[in-house]
Amino acid sequence: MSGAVIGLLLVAAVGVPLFVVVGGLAMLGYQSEDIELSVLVIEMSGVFSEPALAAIPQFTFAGYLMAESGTPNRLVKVARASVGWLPGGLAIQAVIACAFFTAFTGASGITIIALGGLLFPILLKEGFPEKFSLGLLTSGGSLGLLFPPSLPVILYAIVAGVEVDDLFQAALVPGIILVAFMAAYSAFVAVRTEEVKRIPFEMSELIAAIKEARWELPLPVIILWGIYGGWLTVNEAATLTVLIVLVVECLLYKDISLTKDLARITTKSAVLIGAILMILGVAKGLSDAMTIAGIPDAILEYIQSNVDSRIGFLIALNIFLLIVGCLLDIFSAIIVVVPLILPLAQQYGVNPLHLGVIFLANLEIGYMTPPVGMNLFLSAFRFRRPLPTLYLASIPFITVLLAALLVITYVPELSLWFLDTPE
Amino acid sequence: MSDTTPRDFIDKIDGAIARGEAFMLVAVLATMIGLATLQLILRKFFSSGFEWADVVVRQMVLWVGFVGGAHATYLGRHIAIDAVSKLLGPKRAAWLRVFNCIIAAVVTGILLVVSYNYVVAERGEFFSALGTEDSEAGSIESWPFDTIMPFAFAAIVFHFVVAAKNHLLVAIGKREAPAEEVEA
Repeated sequence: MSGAVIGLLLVAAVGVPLFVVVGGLAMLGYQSEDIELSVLVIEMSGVFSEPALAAIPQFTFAGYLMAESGTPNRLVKVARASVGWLPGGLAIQAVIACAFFTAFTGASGITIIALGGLLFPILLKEGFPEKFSLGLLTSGGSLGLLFPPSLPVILYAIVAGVEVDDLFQAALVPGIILVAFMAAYSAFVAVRTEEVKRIPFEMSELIAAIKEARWELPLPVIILWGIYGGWLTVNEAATLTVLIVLVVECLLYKDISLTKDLARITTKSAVLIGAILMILGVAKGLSDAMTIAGIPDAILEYIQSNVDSRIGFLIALNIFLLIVGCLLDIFSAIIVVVPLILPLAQQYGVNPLHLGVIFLANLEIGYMTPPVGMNLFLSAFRFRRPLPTLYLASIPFITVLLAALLVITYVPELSLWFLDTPE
Repeated sequence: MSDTTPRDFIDKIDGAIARGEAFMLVAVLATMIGLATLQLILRKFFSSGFEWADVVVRQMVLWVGFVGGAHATYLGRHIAIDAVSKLLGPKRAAWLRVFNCIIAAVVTGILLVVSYNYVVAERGEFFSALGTEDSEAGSIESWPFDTIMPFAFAAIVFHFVVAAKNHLLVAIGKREAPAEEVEA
C-alpha cells in the first residue's frame, strides 16, 4: 500500500498527469478502508453538480475569447496612456494589465501567453533591463488572482463552504496590496535605471485609448457591481460576461469570426476546462478518502501539540502553503488541502475568509516559486529563456510579494473589514 | 499532433475520436451557454425560469469536464509536472513518456471499469424503481448524464495507449520527435 503511494508520487514527479496520480491515490485510499471504488465515481459526479461550478467553464471561455481578440492590445494602450507617465509607469502598466487579465482567465497561465509577447518587447524598448522584464511578466502571470471573477476564489468558496461574494470582498484589499507592492517595486527599479524613459501624459491619447476600448472597459465594473451589489449570482455574472464578450469581440470589434474562429476557441478553452475539472473530480475523491482515513484529525492533533500560538500557526501555514503552491496546481491544491487546514484554522481562531485570502495569496506566489512553479515554465516557453535565468529574474519579485503576503497574513482586518465583528 | 507527422491507421482512428470530441465540446458548451442565457433573461426580466434548465446546465458542466478531459489527453495538455523530460534528450524523454502513458492508461483503465459498473448499476436501480413509489415523477435523473463518464474514460485510455505507441516510435527512432508547442 505505502509502496504504491510512493510509486504514484514518484511518477507524478516525472510527468504523469496529475489527475491520474490523484485519482490513483484516491483509489488506494478507498481500498485501504475497504470502501468500494465506485465511491470515487460518485464523488466525481457529485462535485460537478455544485451549483457555482458552472461559472468556471463560462469564465474560462470568456477569457479565451478575450485572449484571442484584440483585447490585450487595447488594454495595454489604456494602461499606458493612464499610468505611463508615472516613474516606472510602463512597468506599472504591465502589472495592471496582467492583473486584469489574470482575474478574467483565472490563473490558467494564459496571461503570460497572451500578454507576455506583447509587453516584453515594449518593456525592453523603453529601457527596462531584460532580467527585470522577465521577472515582472513571470510573476505578473498570476497577479490578479484575488480579484473577481477569478476561478480559484470561486472554487475555494465552494470547497470551504463560504459565500463566494464574501470571499471576493475579503480578497479585494489584499489583491490591491499585492498589485501595489509590485507597482512600487517597479517604480523603484525604474527610478534607479537611467535608460528607462518616461512618457509624458497626453490627455488626447488617453481619450483615444479609452474610446477604442469603450466596449470592454465597463465589463469589470458590471461584474463587480453585479456580484457585490447582490444583483447577480456568480453563475449569472459568468453568463453575462460570456454574452458581453461574444457581442463585443464578434459583432462590435469583429476581432473573432463567428464562422472561422469561434469553434476553434471553444474547443481550446474546453480543453483547459477539462484539464481543470478532471483534477477537481479526482481530488474531491482523494480528499474524501483522506477524511475517512482520519488524516485531518491526525494532522490537527499533531499541530495542536506542537504549535501553541496563532502567530506560530500562521507562520507554519505560510511555509507549508508556499511548498504546496510550487508543487501542486492551484485547483487540486484547493480541493485537497483546504479540507485539511480548515479545521486547524478554526482551532487557532483564523476566520475562514481570511484563511481563503492567505491560501490564495500563498498559491499565487507559489506559481512563480522555483524550481517547478508553473509560471516559470510558461515564461521559459514564451520568452525562450532557460529556466535558471527565470529563477534568478523572479527572485526579487517573489521577495516583494512575500513582504506583501506577511502584511496580508498578519493584519486580518485588511480582509475582514466589511464584517461586523472582524474575527 | 501536427499535420506533417506520419499517421498510421490507429492514429487516424485516434484523430477521428478527437474530432468527435471537439464537435461535442462545441455543442455542449453552446447548449450550456444558451440555457444559462435563457435562464438569465427569464429571471431578470420575467421573474421566472425553468427548474430543469439549472439541472441540465450543471450536467453540461460534467460533460464539458469529461469530454474536455478526453480531448486534453489527445492533445497532451493535462496538467503535469513535466520538468524531468525537458532535461533529457529527445529519445530518453520519449522513453519516459512511454512509461508515463502506460501508467496513465492503467489507472484510467481502472476508472473506466469502475465508472461503467456504476452507470450500469444506477440505470438498473432506475428501471427497477419505475412504477413503484420510489420513482419521482417529473424529476430529472442523473444517470443518463453520468453515462458520459465510461465513454470519456474509454476515449482517455485509448488516447493514452496511442500516445504510448507514438512515443515508442520516437524512442526507437522510427519517428521524429514532434516540435514542442507553446500553448497555455
